This record gives sequence, C-alpha cells and structure tokens, in this order.
Amino acid sequence: MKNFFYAITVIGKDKPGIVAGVAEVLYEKGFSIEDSSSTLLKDQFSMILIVSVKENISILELKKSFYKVRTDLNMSVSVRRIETEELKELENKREENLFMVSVYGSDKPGIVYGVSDEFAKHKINIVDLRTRVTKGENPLYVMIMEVDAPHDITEETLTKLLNKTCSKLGVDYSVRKVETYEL
Amino acid sequence: MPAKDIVVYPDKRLKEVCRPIENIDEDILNRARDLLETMRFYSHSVGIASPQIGNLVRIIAVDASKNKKGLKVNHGELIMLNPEILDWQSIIKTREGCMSVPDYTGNVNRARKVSVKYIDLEGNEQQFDTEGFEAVVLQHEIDHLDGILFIDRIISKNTDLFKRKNYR
Repeated sequence: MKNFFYAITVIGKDKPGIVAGVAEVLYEKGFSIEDSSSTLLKDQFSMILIVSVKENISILELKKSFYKVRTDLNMSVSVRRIETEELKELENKREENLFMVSVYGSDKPGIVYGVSDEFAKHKINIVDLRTRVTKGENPLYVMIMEVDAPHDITEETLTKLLNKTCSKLGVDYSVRKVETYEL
Repeated sequence: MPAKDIVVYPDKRLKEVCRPIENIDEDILNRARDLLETMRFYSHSVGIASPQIGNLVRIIAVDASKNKKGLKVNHGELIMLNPEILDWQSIIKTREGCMSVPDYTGNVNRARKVSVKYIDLEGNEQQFDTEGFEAVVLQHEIDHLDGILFIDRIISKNTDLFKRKNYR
C-alpha cells in the first residue's frame, strides 16, 4: 500500500518533554517515524523528522495536530509534504564514497562558505555537517563534515582540494576515508 | 554441503551467550564445517559466528584475506573454537554492517591491535597478534558469541564533536 511522506521540523527552547510531546502526536495520528535526527544547538532543541502515514493528511490538519506542542512547549513546527518522485531518487542512490572532513581554526567569517563552495564546485555532497565555536578571547571554530564524493575523488585529491581552500582561509583541516565493514 | 541460512535480527538467538566447547566431537566438527561453508558461500563474507547460522556454540570462521582492506595483515581462513581476546591496544573508529542486521550501518569503536587465542579443529591451542581490518573482524565475530551486536556498541555522532562543558 502507498504511504504518504512528510518532513517535519520542530525547534524551540530546550526543556524536558519535547520529544515525548511530538512523538505522542505522531503516534496518535498513526504516523511512523522513518528517519530522524534531533540535537541541542545552544539552548534550542531541534528535531528533523521524515514521517509516513497510510492516509493522505492535509498539511493544515497535520499542523493543527501540533497545536498543543506549539503552545504548551512553545515550539515552532513546520511541515512539508515529500513527493513520491523525491523518494524514488533516494532509492536509486549509487554506492557511496564517504569521507570525514574536519576544518578548524581561529573564528573568522567565511569558513563554512569557503569550504562548502569548493565542495559544491566539485560535486562533493555534504551528508552531515556540525559546526561549533568556542567561547573565550580567541574563539576556535570547528566544522566536522561527512561528505559523499564522486568516485574519481580519492583521499589524496580531496586533501589537495582542501589544502588550497584552507590555506586561503588560514585554517587547519584533516581528511579520513570512511570505510564501511560489511561483516 | 549447502550453505546455511543467515539468522536475522530480531531472532532471539542473536542475543544469547553461546556455550563453550569442551569436546571436539563429530557434532562440533559438523557445525564448524557448516560455518566455514556458509562463509565461503557468501562471497563478501569475511567472518561469521555460529549463532548467525543458529548454533549457540563458541565457534567463529574468519577470512580477512577475502577483502582488499585485509590484504596487508591477515592469517588467512581460520576456524576458531572458544576464541578469546587476551589483550588489545589503541582504538579505531569503524563503520560496521552485519549480515544479521541488514540495511543498517553504524560507527563503532574497536581496538586497533588485538592478541587472540583459540582452539583449532585438532584441539591445539593457538595464539596470534593482529591489527586493522582482521582485528575488527575478530572483535565483531567474538561479540556475536556473547549476544552482542554492533548496534550495542554504536557511538553517537554528536559526541564526535566536543560537548559543551564548563571546565572552570
């Protein structure tokens, strides 16, 4: 049977009960959580979820069902429908060529832009990205990424690429190939 | 002898602690042979543990030479009874998948170097040191004998980056 898919994001000041509040709504409405990631950014708890359900529910109705979460927990909730064509693309994905990349140095504008722009030019896809800046007199900026690169890109070529970009930005970097062991 | 079917989670047998082998009798030899045949049958399989074919005994089969990641350091095809890790050194992060937990991979911390001992099919005690891919395979398979899946060892991605803590 065909399922209907939605993307939901929830964000607001952290407090106990946010996940439970959101999960309750989804459970009561018969949703399955297909894929999700939630984390604390500063004091804001942020949830991103792909959910599916058997019957077609309107965006408005779905938004309404989060009324209690929005008001009681003071969260902002957004909902988007995911079209079936988008999901098909996901299924036909080619084999991955994954790398972990760390970029770090004194905080300055343009680190994320400089690195991601270089990756985009070479069709290197960022699949996970976390950044953090330390407090203190000389803040340290850290950017950790997992990237999926085209197959002709090796650890060596990726390192060369980053060397050029990071020297320009005056930051340090490292690259590690992510090996998946199917055991 | 045909390859056995792979037991897939949530089958409860994957969460059991397997019994040690006391006598190498016909039954144990058969189970060991089944395990080896099954590993050979799955061309990508570099290691398999007895509970993965439904036998709750402490036998694993490994062959790190089947994968190019294991070419540098490996001890070839091995059948190991009562395998045990005696010592380990330094940690590497691996991303693992498992035939018994299809379509799922996760980041796991493993020892980079291990010393293992085991009993071979002739009943002789053997021991060797290894590192890298073969060391990871051994740890993954020995875990199966204790009902431990790689999911039990997954480390959160977020902890890869430093936690915000005040050290003052």
